Amino acid sequence: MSKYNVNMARLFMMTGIVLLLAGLLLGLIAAQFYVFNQQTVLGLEFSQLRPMHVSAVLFWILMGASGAVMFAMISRFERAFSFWLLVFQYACWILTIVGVFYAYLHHSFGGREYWEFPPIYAFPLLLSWLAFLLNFIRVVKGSKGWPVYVWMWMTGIVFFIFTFLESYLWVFPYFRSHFITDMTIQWKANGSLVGSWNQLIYGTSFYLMERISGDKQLARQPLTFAMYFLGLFNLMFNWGHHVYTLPTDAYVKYIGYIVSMTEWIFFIKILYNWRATVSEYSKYVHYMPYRFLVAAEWWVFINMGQAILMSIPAFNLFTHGTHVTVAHAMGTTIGINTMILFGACLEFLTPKHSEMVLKHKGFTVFFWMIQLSLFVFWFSLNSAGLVKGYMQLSGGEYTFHSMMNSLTPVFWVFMIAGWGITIGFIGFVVLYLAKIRRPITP
Amino acid sequence: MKWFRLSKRKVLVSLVLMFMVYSGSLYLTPLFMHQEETNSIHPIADGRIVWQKYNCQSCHQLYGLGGYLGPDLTNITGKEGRTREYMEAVVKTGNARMPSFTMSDQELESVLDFLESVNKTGNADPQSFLVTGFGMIKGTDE
Repeated sequence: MSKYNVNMARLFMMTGIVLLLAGLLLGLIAAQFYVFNQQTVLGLEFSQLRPMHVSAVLFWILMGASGAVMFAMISRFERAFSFWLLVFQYACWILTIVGVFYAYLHHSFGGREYWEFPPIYAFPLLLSWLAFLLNFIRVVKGSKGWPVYVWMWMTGIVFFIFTFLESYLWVFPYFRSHFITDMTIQWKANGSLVGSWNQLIYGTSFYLMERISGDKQLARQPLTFAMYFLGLFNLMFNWGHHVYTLPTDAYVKYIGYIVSMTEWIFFIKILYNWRATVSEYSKYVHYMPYRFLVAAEWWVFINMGQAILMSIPAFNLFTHGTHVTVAHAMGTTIGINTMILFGACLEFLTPKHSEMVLKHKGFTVFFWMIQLSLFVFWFSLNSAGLVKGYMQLSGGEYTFHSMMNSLTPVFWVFMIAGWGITIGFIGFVVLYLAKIRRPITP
Repeated sequence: MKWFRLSKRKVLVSLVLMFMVYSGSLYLTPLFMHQEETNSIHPIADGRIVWQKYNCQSCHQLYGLGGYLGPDLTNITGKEGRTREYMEAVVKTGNARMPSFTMSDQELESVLDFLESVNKTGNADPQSFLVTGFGMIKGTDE
């Protein structure tokens, strides 16, 4: 297997980790606006900091997942990636990142949620994904009997491209001119976009478990595939739960509601498999990458329970437009996606002969700092959201200003917990760099 | 019957086809809009560009979707005291949390027209919804 391709996959993951740390720091700075009445922090406005934070963490997820998928495929398939396509893909990413942050620093926007940057930077981003798709097809072409994670990676890449294009339909006046349809399509695209990168990440999680446990049947069982198709079904059809209060067509809302409720199947499956999960945990708990996977399992359970409740329209009325939505977004992005990808990066970047250094106590300290801080962070945002939801439904008694003022103590807790998460991840990475010295082959 | 046997490929193709039909139904919706809904096309289309140019969505929401530092602006133009002059002043001078924006007169006109058009699309106030059967909700003006 080509060491150049391996190094490219490593480069994607390492760039992703840099973006994660930057995103965490930017989030900390942006949180200041919630506790202090001010228009700028470090000379930057919230309208700049929020998209900088969102883009940094989103790019961490996408680059980290891309690198993890590449690394896994290099070790699993005999056919090689095209090195020059990988270089092209990476170059497009760097062009996008530099352009996007330059734009934000100069108050240049023009896009929408998740992609607030000027639409011109969507081109290199799209090209990078097309290159990824071409390389993916090159590697898997002709191979049969794919395990579930290869199916998930394929659908993740294809659906990302589709939903990314869909999220730019507003460029055409035909769509932009009809506000309700435009909003419906925007939140359809955003919902499915999240689902697409979840496919990449959960696929990586399956691959990791196969690699750590050595159990090759895990990713080939009929039940595993049934869960994959249920997940895909939700990716495609459950997004209507974003738009219950939008005066769009009723069928969109009913489809979103009914499909979202099928997630109870996942929830019940996690509960049913709990004992097996716990006994498996005792076998691999000493292994740090595995701990991050287990942490992600807990966060899946907590966030899925929350998500299912939020998908019930009557409950959604209470939480929509409040910080409960932020709690869900952060809880899933950090608690699930980041935990899995960080675990994958640890597994793939750590030299075989250096695995023992991950047993240093410092890693355990930082790991628990991240988990506990994240729980406080998630809980405080939910608390703020539920209080705001109550106030919104209290007959006009509260102005927006009075609502935000009354929530300031909770925002302080949220900001301090954010410090805990950031210090945890930065501490972990700094300690890791201090302990690990050599490159890896898969 | 052999053709009816479930395979992963058939399930995937079926799901993709259903997804394309569902997506297509949404994309074609504007073709069936009523006349009164088409009267606000230009304010919506042009004003939305200004809204995005100044990244208003980073702090504000429309129908509860967007940022949470500022209030939802879906029905701001319909609120008592929120005259056009008042909103122009807020945009130009800002307040404790909101910075001032240097928009051209045309941009300011455009974004306020946009908000007036959005206001006419419906009511985003959670109090304006009723809970119906099976946990579903319905706007009182639907």
